[in-house]
Amino acid sequence: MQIELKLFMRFKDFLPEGAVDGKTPMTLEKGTTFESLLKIIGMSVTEDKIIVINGISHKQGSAVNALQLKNNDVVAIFPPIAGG
Amino acid sequence: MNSWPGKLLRVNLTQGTWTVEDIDPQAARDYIGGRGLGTKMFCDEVSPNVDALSPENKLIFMTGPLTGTGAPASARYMVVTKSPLTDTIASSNSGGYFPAELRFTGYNAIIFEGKSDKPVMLWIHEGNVELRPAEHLWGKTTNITEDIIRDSIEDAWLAQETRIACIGPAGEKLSKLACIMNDKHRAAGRSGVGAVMGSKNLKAVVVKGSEGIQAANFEEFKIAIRAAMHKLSTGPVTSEGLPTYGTAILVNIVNECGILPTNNFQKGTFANAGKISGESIAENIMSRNKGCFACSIACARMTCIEDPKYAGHGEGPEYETVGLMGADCGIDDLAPITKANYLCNEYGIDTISAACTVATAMELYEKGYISKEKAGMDLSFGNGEAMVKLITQMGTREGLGDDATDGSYDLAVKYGFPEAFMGVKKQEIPAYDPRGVQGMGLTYATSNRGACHVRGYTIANEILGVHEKLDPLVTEGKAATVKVFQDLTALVDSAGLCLFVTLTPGFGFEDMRALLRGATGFDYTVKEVKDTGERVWNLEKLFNMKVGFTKDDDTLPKRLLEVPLTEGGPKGQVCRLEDMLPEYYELRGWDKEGIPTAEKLLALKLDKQVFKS
Repeated sequence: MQIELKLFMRFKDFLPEGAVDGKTPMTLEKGTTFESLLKIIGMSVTEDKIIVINGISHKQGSAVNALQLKNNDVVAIFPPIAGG
Repeated sequence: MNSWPGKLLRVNLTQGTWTVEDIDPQAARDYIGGRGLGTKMFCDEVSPNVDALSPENKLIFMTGPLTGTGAPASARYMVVTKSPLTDTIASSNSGGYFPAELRFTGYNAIIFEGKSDKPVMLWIHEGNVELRPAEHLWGKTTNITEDIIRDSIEDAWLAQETRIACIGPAGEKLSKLACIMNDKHRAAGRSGVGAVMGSKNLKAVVVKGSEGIQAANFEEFKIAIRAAMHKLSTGPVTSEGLPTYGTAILVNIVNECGILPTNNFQKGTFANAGKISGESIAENIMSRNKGCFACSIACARMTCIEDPKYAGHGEGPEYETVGLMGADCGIDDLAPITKANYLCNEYGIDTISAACTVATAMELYEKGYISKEKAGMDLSFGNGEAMVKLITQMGTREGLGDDATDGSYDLAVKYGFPEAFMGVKKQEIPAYDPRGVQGMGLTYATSNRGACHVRGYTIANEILGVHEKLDPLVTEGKAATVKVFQDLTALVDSAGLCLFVTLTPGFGFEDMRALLRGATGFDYTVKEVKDTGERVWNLEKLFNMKVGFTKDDDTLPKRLLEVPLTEGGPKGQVCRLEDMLPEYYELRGWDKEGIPTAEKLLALKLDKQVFKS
């Protein structure tokens, strides 16, 4: 299955080679969880982050870690930010 | 000697006189300062029925006990008056260096009364107070006004140390969107406070102090400052995100969550958001970041535009500005967005309301309510040149700008399509679509100064998870969240701190209590400071009720309540305000009509509040 991965700010360092504008399509095995995705790209599971999957922001922790990704999912990950 | 509550300067502009008064210590304890104490003074002295642009309205510049002290982000002052835009109580906040300098003059507040027959400026220099003629400044933009004033001071060092707040042409021409600018780039932006200053023929307030600020309990204050500083300097948002990318860092995440207002709130996602993001600003137009007085965050962006059509330099754009002048006007080019921001600062117009008004004008144009002949330009969404032109006209009341400069409510009504107004209580909604973040809908609807994001910034928890991560699409529990955010915000606004201190995990009522005890000497408890925030909120509510506002005004535009978003994560969602409002009233101790109960007023020591008729 294929997903789109978008990483922002300093997290861009974790993008696989060939990514353009902070995003890249990724081919994953069916059933890959969000936590597995983090391990594939070498990101810490516990480091503070903001997780948005298909436009829905998720609470960091076991529930989202265990979430099985689906074909065409869009996964966006941001370092902690705020403003306004 | 303790500097709080200290003294206020009362300036009668009609007579050209002034007096010095002691600030009532009990009122200072109960309302702290800034937004709270300013509102208390205003409510005691001015009838809720006053015409906002008449000499009978008053304009209060109010610092807080922490302003200028060296407490982290202690750079803020508050302008309190009755708003010509909303007819509600107005309290508009600004940072920079003017507020701290105002405290160094020895006056913690200035109350302006009446109306001068000619343009004047208040000049407070090292102990001397003067009202000086300002005819030569009338018609000048805010940046030129500052330059002329500073150039008139012979001693170069003194000139450099002098701080100035002023209005631009928009305030002089009584634009309901006019703001009061200070330090050239910082704005007491919202609710048309600049028009009130203009209506009094008061062009500028010029301050250079010579007094220090004494904390009542210096040792206790030092400890509290250190603890707060530690939180700010280690918190990820205040130590990394905001200094590096500024507030516009939010563009991408807000867009990713499908709540970035686009084409006057007709959509919640903007295809080219990345081009106008904080990252893009940092890479393409930013020259350096900048901080306000005593602030380690330094979120401001000094920028420069080289494109000859939009060339200029200045500060901004901030998130709300770039979100609304960008996505909400369908514009993905930072050059016209930034130029429009500079123009707003120079003419003295609130960027949030101005941008929303341009977006409203664009919708009216595209739907045929404003003709091309009337517009005098192609006002289609996405036309950056047209946005810059309309903002210029709003600054000078020329062409369509004469109608637009009084805000999008008046504009949409005048041109026959009121549904295009995206605001609450006649004030425009900031850059978060509440259909995809339910708590913000309640925040907007219940805000005492009309739609506003800094009256209860639940984005912090609903989207960003700063203190705890909440689901933005559910309504359960949001009434309680909104109330806590509103009360904490009222407290921070009253103390003289920047609201961004609350974006630090772990910063809360206990930190505020410790800082306030140290600075004021009042032996506040946590409950007392919590109650203060709630007291301020209820006093504002009482003022608005006396003006005639009711439950019917605690609502949102039909589009946000009835027309679902069509894409992104919140696809299919509307703002379910009716699910939250009754619980909110109950938690506030208000009846079903949103009226504070006698018990609640008694508990908050508001039962004896009397308003002038």
